[in-house]
Amino acid sequence: MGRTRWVVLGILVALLGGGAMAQSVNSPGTFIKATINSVETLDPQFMLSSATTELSFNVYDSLLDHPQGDLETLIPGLASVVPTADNGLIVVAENGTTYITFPIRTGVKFHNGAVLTPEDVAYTFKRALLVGGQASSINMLCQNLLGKASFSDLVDEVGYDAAYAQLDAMVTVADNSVTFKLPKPFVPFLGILADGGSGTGILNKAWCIEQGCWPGTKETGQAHMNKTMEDDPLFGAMNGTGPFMLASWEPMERVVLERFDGYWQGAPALERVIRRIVEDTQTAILMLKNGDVDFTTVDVADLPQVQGAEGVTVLDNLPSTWLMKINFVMDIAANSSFIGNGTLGDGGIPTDFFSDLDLRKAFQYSFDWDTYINEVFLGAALKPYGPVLIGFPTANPDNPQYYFDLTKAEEYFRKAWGGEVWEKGFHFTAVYSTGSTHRQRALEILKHGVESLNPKFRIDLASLPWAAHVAAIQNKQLPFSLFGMLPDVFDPYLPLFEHMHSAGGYANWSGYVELAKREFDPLIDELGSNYDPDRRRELSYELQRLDYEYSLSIFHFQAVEHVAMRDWVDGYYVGPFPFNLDFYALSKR
Amino acid sequence: MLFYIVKRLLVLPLVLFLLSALVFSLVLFLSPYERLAVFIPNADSVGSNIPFDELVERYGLNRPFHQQYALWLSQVLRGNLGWSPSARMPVAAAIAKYFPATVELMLLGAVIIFAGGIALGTYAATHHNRLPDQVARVATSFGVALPEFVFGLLLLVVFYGWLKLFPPGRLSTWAEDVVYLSDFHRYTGMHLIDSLLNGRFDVFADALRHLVLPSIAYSIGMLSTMLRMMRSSLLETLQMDYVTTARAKGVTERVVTIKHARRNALLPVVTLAGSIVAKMLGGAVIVETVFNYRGMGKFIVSAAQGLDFPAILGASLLIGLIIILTNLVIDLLYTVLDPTVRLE
Amino acid sequence: MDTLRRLAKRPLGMAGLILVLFWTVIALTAPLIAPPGERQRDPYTIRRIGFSSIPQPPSDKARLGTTGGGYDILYGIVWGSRTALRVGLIVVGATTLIGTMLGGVGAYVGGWIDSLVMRITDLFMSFPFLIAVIVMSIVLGKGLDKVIVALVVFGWRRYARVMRSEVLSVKERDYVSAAESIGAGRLRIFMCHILPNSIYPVFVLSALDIGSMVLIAASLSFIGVGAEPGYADWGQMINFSRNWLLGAVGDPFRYWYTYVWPSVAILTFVLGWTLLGDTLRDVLDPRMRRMK
Repeated sequence: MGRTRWVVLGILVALLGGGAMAQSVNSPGTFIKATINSVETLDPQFMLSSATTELSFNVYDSLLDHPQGDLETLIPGLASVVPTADNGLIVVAENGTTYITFPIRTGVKFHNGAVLTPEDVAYTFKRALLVGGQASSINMLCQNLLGKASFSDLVDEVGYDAAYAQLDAMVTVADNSVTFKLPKPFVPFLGILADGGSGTGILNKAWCIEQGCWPGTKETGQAHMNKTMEDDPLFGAMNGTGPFMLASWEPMERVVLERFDGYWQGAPALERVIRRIVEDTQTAILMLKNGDVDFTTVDVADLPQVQGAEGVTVLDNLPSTWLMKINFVMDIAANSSFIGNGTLGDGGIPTDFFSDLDLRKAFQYSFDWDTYINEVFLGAALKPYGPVLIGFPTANPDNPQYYFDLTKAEEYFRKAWGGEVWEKGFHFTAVYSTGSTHRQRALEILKHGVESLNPKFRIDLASLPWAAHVAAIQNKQLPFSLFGMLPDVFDPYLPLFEHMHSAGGYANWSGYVELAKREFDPLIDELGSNYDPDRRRELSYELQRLDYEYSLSIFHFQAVEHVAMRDWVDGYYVGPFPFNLDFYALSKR
Repeated sequence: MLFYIVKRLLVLPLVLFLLSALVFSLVLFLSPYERLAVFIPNADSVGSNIPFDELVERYGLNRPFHQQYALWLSQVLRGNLGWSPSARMPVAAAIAKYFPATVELMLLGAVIIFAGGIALGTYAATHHNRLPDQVARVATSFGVALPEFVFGLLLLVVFYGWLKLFPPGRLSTWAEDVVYLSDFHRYTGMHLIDSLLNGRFDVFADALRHLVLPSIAYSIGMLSTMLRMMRSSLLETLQMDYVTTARAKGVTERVVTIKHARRNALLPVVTLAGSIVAKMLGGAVIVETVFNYRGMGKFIVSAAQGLDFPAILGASLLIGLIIILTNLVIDLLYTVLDPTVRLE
Repeated sequence: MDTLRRLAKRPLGMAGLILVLFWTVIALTAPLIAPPGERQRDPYTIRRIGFSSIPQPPSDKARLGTTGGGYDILYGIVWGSRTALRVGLIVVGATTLIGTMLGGVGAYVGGWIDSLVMRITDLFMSFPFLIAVIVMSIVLGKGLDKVIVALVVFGWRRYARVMRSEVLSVKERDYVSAAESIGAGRLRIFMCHILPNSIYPVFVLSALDIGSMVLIAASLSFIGVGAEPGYADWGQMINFSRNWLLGAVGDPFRYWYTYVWPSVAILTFVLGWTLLGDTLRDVLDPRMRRMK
């Protein structure tokens, strides 16, 4: 017993001694970021999470780019000139077919030493559409380059040969340029290709084929369609033209990027970047304060823990392009377990409950935005104007809006379904994904407002793990779906398309496809193809007003973000997503 | 003895089969759409690049239960445990990665529990009803009643938040670099052992630092139980006739304790050890969550939350195997310590 | 009873009893101490005072303060005691019943029934309790009742084992063979002779188990499995307080009320049952009695 005592003591001393390690800037060339978002894939064409696109942004480049912090101006990227009608690189034919040519910069190297050629560009886009990449920018391009939501949809319609012919004709290669052929003008096209590599990063064809990707020929195309994420050869490998290259990826743990000395704009200041997964925000904050981590995002409720802390800089209330809404599902699946017995009354609701306009308006007036924004977000959120995000061109601050007014709510409840709702009452379950506090609070506040009007109104709340939650939404099980939009291109077309177009996704999930085809599609299609800024504003305003009139969703907030970093970090600027960093611009003092 | 071992080992595959069937049957509670949702990696996106209906076909999710089970079983027998979407790697790779982490934690915890429990329990028993004993009784009552996560959080706040001594996670960033990037050879996956085998004492110290708090938080409850068990068992033995005889013959107290009493007192301890191993596997879940320590516990919980059945099944098989083997070892140990016990 | 008298002589046992009684009283009088809000349908949902994301210190409206999200802490503690007792008593009651019946009958009848019961018990024991409960709860869905089901399904094993070993030794005793020889029916022997004499270790185990079941349920709520968010459950309340442990810069204890009260509640509740169980063991175990 005596001897053991000394051994134990000895170990303790060693540990504590090691523990008192210095707290200066650890390795000034290495930047460490803590995040809770794990990486689902390294293939930019498959990335679904905006947090993951930070990696493709820094490892790949796109044809065009933006100056730091300015999302409206376009500058050349891997293309050496920005195409415009004036310089003749954009040509619109009589029938609307648009040809856009990009001269490709010479002398640009990939991380593996290969040199960028126009063939790489063509391959990148053909591959993206063929393989069925689900990154939102690729989806958007598919819709507007091929006219269908996905390549396999096109194949189903016209057969593989015809579909492939269309794909092939979409992009053509000349000596030192690439030309895209669009069936009609598509205004956001250039903006989408200026995402810095997030979704439209250019791949190296030879390297991709080496990894096992599609060889690029018609015969081999069918075998590579509809790949799942884990079968994708580029799932775990990256080779781009960006300032950083992939050094290693430990799934669910960390990603390490290393400086690329041959970067065409000059080598970056940082030597290494480590993106570390820390699942617990408290731990991340502790690590930041201890200097073990250089940067992390902070929830509004955690701000008191970092504001004023030594050596920490906090930037709060940064605008972000994340808009959340509560979507009314107008045709719920009949087998849903959340609608009770399926008939209006204290036992349930009918599947088309939300197809009544007065009812939807009643719910709108029952949502207490003030409490939500001031108490839940402590003031750090914005009440949206409508489907076009605040800060986007043609966002209309004067758009008619709903606001919290229980008198009006009651008025509309009494009108809803010809008075039956008020008499019989209703009972259903609203669902949020487990752990998603903002969704939970939103539903709680809505429930509070609605139930205060009539004791026969009952909304139960339930939570589902996100996997089951997503399945339920796909399967139209939920009366409300709380999903939003994160458009990363500053063009009103994107959010309006997603929210209101019949092919935009929400129309299908929420059950207003017919309505969309009738009322919204013509306007949205014109918005996408007409370059005239005045006409675009007119269309955008009209669409925003229509959304108000038809009360498609409750826009309950647009997010602002807060970030905290060590004082020795230089060069941070706010991009469309404040939590995604441009490592090229950063350095440590 | 050998025959007994072989007999027990033959039953092993049967039990594992039943176990996996049991877990697989939980699948019956879920709809195909729920099971598919695991292929959607991100909470904020709703799409997947392949239509759900096609995925249902591809993975055979609408086929009858026994067909699905047979399909899975045939894959396993070929050595393929499948792909775990929640871990983003094959199930076997995930287990090979996370299991050693938990083993490390368990080993350190076991040292604390057994060494501490036996030593302190003996001390309390030999000072029966005097101050050390009273203190032990009260302290262990608290130890058993205190929730692990409360204690763990407390330790984290005090020792990392204020004193900045013991960080969460498994390794510091610089140590991670050594382990993952340089020519560090991975022998067992356990950082403590691998670092010694690679001659890196700095990594060893770092790994140990990260293990201190979790293993303490983890073992307090079981240490208390072990202490009490040892104490009461020893007290009981000390009363037995042969001990009284030994005392009467003039053998010193210390010899009485160690030689005669402790050997027999260890029997219930050995039984307890079996249940402690099972408990440790489970208890890791809470501690790993609190300390951000990536091991089997966390893996299973996130697999369960993501309804990732290949992962759950793979992990269940492994854990079932371990527990059955442990029980076998315990039973054998029992016969060594007490020759009067017969193996049936 | 004789047992109670012996219990009274031990200070730790008395302390345990007092704690248990304390929480039982709180649980029974919950509607008086912390009445639910007027429009509240389910009293087990913690009463909300606003929706503020930041905990509010104790005030007139919320005597012990609120956690993030406006949950009234006093309400949560009081109704949480009900939850704890419910979980503990239901789970332990069910597992005791199932376990003792299976183990006892198997041991008494012997033969292949005994072997079958043993094999089934072994099967269930080859899986770590906590993990099994977690997986099952998640699959069954959210809700404390699902957790209770999972706890019962995996919790009866120890009782079966203990009961079995007790019955095996009791059935060899004289009074049992005496009863058999005069032709008493097997059921009568089992119920009147065997059961009452083997049951003591089970009592001890039950008392200790109530505490540990509540601990496990709290751990599950802590990691987010089990009770729906907002349900009055101590483990959940501690989970709510995780974000506030570090307080604010320069004021590390600002939100002490969010984690101190629920921790104390769990600790004292479990401690009470543990002390009680310990003392029962000392009192009921004839061999231990010899020593005092």
